[in-house]
Amino acid sequence: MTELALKVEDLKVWYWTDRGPVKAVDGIDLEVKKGERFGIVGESGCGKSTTAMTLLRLIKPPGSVEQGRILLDGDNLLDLNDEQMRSVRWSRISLIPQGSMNSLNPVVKIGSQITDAVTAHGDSVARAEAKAKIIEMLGMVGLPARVYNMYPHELSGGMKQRVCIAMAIILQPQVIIADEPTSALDVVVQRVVTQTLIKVQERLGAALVIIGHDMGLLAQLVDRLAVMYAGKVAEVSPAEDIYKDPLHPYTQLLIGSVPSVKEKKPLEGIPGLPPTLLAPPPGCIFHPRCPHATERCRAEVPQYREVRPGRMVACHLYE
Amino acid sequence: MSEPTRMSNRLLEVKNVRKVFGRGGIGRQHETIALDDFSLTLYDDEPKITAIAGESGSGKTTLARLILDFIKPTSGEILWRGRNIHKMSKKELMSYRHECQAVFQDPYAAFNPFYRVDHLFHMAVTEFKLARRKADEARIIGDALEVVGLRPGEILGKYPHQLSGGQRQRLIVARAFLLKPRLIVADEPVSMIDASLRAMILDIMLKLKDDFGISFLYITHDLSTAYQISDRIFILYEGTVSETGDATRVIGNPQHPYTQLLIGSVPNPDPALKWSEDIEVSAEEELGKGDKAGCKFYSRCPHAMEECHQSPPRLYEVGEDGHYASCFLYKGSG
Repeated sequence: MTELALKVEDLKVWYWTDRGPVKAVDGIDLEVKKGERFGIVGESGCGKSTTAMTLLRLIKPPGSVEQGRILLDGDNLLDLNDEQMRSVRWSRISLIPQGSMNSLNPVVKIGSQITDAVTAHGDSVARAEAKAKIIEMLGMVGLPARVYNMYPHELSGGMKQRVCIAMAIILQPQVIIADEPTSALDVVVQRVVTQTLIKVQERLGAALVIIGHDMGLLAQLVDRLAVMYAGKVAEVSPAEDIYKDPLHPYTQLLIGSVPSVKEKKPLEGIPGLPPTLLAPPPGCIFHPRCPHATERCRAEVPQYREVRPGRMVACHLYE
Repeated sequence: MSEPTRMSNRLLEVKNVRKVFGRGGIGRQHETIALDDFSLTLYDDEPKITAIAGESGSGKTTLARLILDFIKPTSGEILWRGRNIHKMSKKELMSYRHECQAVFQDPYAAFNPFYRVDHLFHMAVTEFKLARRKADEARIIGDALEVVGLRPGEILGKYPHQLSGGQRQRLIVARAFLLKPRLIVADEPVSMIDASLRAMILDIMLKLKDDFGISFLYITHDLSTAYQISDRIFILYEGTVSETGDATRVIGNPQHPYTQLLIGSVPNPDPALKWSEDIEVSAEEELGKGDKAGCKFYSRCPHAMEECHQSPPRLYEVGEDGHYASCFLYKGSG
């Protein structure tokens, strides 16, 4: 059995409202192997960003982790106290948050911002030593040393995003979580940033979890892909398999809805709307939009299980 | 296509429009040429979806704002049925606003959260005097909702927060349709909509064109949807047209080195078709974008020649159906 970098077991993260809990993440299981690039894809509201934030224990009220375990190299992150978690964050697991290029402080130079991240989470390193390290990391993401002394507004969007990547890898974590790392960037810059991310991940040998909504982009990136829908994992499969032969009807429709620049074909969407997570439908959560739904799907929640070697799916079609 | 007979059919003409921002006492180095020498003609009897595609900062939204009369061009003219829109009388302008509608990117920001969605329609009906009686108003609103695939009973009376992004964007399109416009300027109408619901909005655009003869200016950064729905395309780079022509030809067989890079960078939804190679964009290039005197793409172009550095290339004909590229590689071809 391959060693796992990260294992998520039966995780539930709910947001409490006046009308009851919104079940943003409702019992998901994920396994990320060491050194692997793992994608989580889904549409707005499917729980992918909540999952990312939970992996670093950054969920704030009204959100709360109701249940589950997050095992990082065997340690359950949900059991750690705040101080212990702070020492794990960044040094063992780090995050490139969504829109992170806009999260840089506009009045602090890049070098100081990265130094802050180092001193907050890492060992107490000498400032001079930190500077050399930061310049090395900037080089690794393809930025010149002078960026150290620059302000965020002097950089382009793609360069800021690369600064955030440098910040996330500076303490050489085993797991890097990237939440929509290129969502606000143009295609050419997206390609540059993505290629930088892959290069850095391969050099560090870290596991990379990429959260995204773009099936096309993730195809270029990941070894294995999890498809989330309405707080649940619909399918996890190796990237080649999932594009060639998607199992879950939602995965099939999602791949069908990606427009191509190679061939003209009628545009296909998915009929209906995602369910409200305050009152999800009974049975399979996808059944109201599923072209294959049967009586059983309306009544019984499908089990998430391995139906072919290395391929997990939650769908009655494969039972 | 003889020019004189087509004169009367001209719906929108954008003639050599240039927009410069930041001119003022501080000096020329602070000027940004957002759009340079842009021309385009749309005909009333030939409804088309024209894509204006480019990255951020390419000038595509500036063009939309110019056409919608939110800002005025620094030079050049925009004519609607032969009349300069920036010199129209109040009455003419009102009729222009009736015939040329807009759909924007953010379906959340377009609504006032304190009003029911009906308000959006009621305002349009009152402002443009579309119906005299309540019953007529209800009928035309119902018709417009039906065209975008929404059931009036399920939508009217609701507040914006009770609807999804896809439903809201369809409402915005329905409101535009209510006025029976000749042109809809759609600025990134689907970029905030999930993939599964995006197709529905794009299908509605195709239907409005085919069944009701409404033209669209589809402003987007997404080449794949532009390829799927548009008839013609303009690729903008730093305010200038790098390539234009029939959308299938331009995207299927791009001629300008920038268009080639752009299309080569669109990720393919197939892991077997990976990006051909790593591309390097040096930080120096990213910081000092564009060449002041010559071609804007000079510093990033793999084919850059001495000539490209000297003066900006004009549009050269590179293929059939009005396929042009602004690149000296095609200087000999016409």
